[in-house]
Amino acid sequence: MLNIHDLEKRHKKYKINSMLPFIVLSTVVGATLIGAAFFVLTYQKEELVANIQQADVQVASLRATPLDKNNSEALLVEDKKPQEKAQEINETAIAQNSVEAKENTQSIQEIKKEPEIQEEIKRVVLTPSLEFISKIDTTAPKNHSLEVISNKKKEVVVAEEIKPVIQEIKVEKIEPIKMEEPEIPIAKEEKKGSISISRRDEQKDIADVIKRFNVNHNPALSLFVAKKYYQLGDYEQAYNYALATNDINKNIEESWILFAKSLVKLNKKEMAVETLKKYISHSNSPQAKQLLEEIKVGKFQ
Amino acid sequence: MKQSIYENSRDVFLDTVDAKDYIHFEKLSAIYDSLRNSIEKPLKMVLLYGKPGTGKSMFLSKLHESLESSQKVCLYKTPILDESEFFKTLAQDLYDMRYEGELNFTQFIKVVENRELGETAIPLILLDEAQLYTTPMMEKIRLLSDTRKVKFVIALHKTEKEDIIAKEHFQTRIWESIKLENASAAELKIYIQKKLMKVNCIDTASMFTQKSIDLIHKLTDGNYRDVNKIVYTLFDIYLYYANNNPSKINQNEISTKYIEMAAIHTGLIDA
Ligand SMILES: Nc1ncnc2c1ncn2[C@@H]1O[C@H](COP(=O)(O)OP(=O)(O)OP(=O)(O)O)[C@@H](O)[C@H]1O
Ligand SMILES: [Mg+2]
Repeated sequence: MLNIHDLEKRHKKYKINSMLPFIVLSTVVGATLIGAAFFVLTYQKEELVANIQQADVQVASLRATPLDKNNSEALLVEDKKPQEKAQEINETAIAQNSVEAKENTQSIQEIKKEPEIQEEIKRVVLTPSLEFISKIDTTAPKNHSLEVISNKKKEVVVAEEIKPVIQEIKVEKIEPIKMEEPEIPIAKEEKKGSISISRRDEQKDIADVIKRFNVNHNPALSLFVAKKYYQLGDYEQAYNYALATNDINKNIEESWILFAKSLVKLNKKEMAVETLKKYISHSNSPQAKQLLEEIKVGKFQ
Repeated sequence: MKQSIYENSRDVFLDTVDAKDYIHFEKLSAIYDSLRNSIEKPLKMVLLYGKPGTGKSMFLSKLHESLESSQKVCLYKTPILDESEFFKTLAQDLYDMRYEGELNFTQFIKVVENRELGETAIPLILLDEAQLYTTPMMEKIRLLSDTRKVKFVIALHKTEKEDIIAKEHFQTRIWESIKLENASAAELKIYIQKKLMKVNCIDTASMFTQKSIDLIHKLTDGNYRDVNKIVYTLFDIYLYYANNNPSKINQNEISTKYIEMAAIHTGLIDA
């Protein structure tokens, strides 16, 4: 009767299938984290260079309290806005490499004001150093350590460091945009969800009213339900509730109209006509008369 | 020993309706009381409704069993669709009257109207699966209860498509309607454990942790019939392993895997 082996197999399949989204998700998250870490580290390096550059060009005049953001904090900021990121990275770089804070505060403040990293970097990095680049001896040593840079005395060295940095920026800039893409379908799904929620709300509203109606048999409630169902295209239910309304109170014009309309929708034109005639005979309702005409000539279908 | 306990535990969850298996819990008791109250109100007909597998038939059986000793009460588990047959059966069961040939509504209602009840309680007729009666038949049943000489309790299920309570004859004031719902997770725990306790399967009853109850509730939505199916299969799986590979059984708690396997087997999980 029970085929356990088959069942075990199906269960394994089921488990794998249900784990799949998690595997995909963790892979994506993992890749994102690695990407972000790389991005942050690279940035940190180039920002450091930028700051030093800036500091060299600028006249040191401002005093500031030392900054104490540390590296691990900078790594955690990968989901913050790019501006903020740049800002924090700046701070990190400054604090860590013991560049004199008073000189850098100016540049940090300036960067804070800038909305676009790319622009900011171009401004900060490129302006003073392009000239140097053209003058640099291409055979100059390539592997300058950060310690060397932090001496911030030899402009040539600094400029040499900038070159690869600029290229890296371009590559790295593309990544965060790409990373945002998978989020778009999620957002769309949420929207779909909220639509069906509101529809469910409507059903729930109806259910609530029905509950109340079942308790107190107020024809206003059943009429409300009938109207709602009619709007939703559930003519059978509209018919039922209009009928229930008429049962309780025979003189509600709207309910009779709705009843007849539902009948037509349910392909019971004959019955709709009969009902309306009966109603008209004791109410003389002009609205019912008009509907009767419309049904007869096929204007209301 | 282990083998038979799984077998006994399993068979508790066969889908049968028998008043002696009835399990009381708070919510049901409240409904049960209101049902008994409404039986005492003249004129009203009682409508018991709810999705398939919410325990309507079980309820009627229990009601029948507990009233039987104190008053006249008849339970019809399946509808008698032929009209004449229906009235003849009622005449026989209510008044011990035998009719040869046809008995139509006009004749029968006369019989009912002319009964003197005296001190005795109004006889009660419990109709299960009443969604199968036609609308004209329901109308006649209503007219019968208008005589106040007989009272009906009617159980029917409400399917998604036809919302039975919305049907015109249940909208009027003469109906007192009571809705049965699926079990909550807490009720489900009581349900499973009490059922097992009843047949002394205390060991298996204690294997159901909150986690396993929650999973079963999630899979079945607390529908008693689905719960029966899944737990029956679950113990069938345990029985298999007890016979073939006992090392795979952890006697401390129900295995999530086996619940999932049972759900796959019963079609509650699509895999
Ligand atoms: N209170 C209860 N105590 C014990 N078992 C119950 C109880 N309620 C429901 N059950 C179990 O659930 C199963 C389904 O219940 P039941 O047959 O009464 O549902 P139903 O509402 O009549 O369904 P349908 O609409 O399909 O006739 C029964 O076989 C019974 O084993
Ligand atoms: Mg039933």
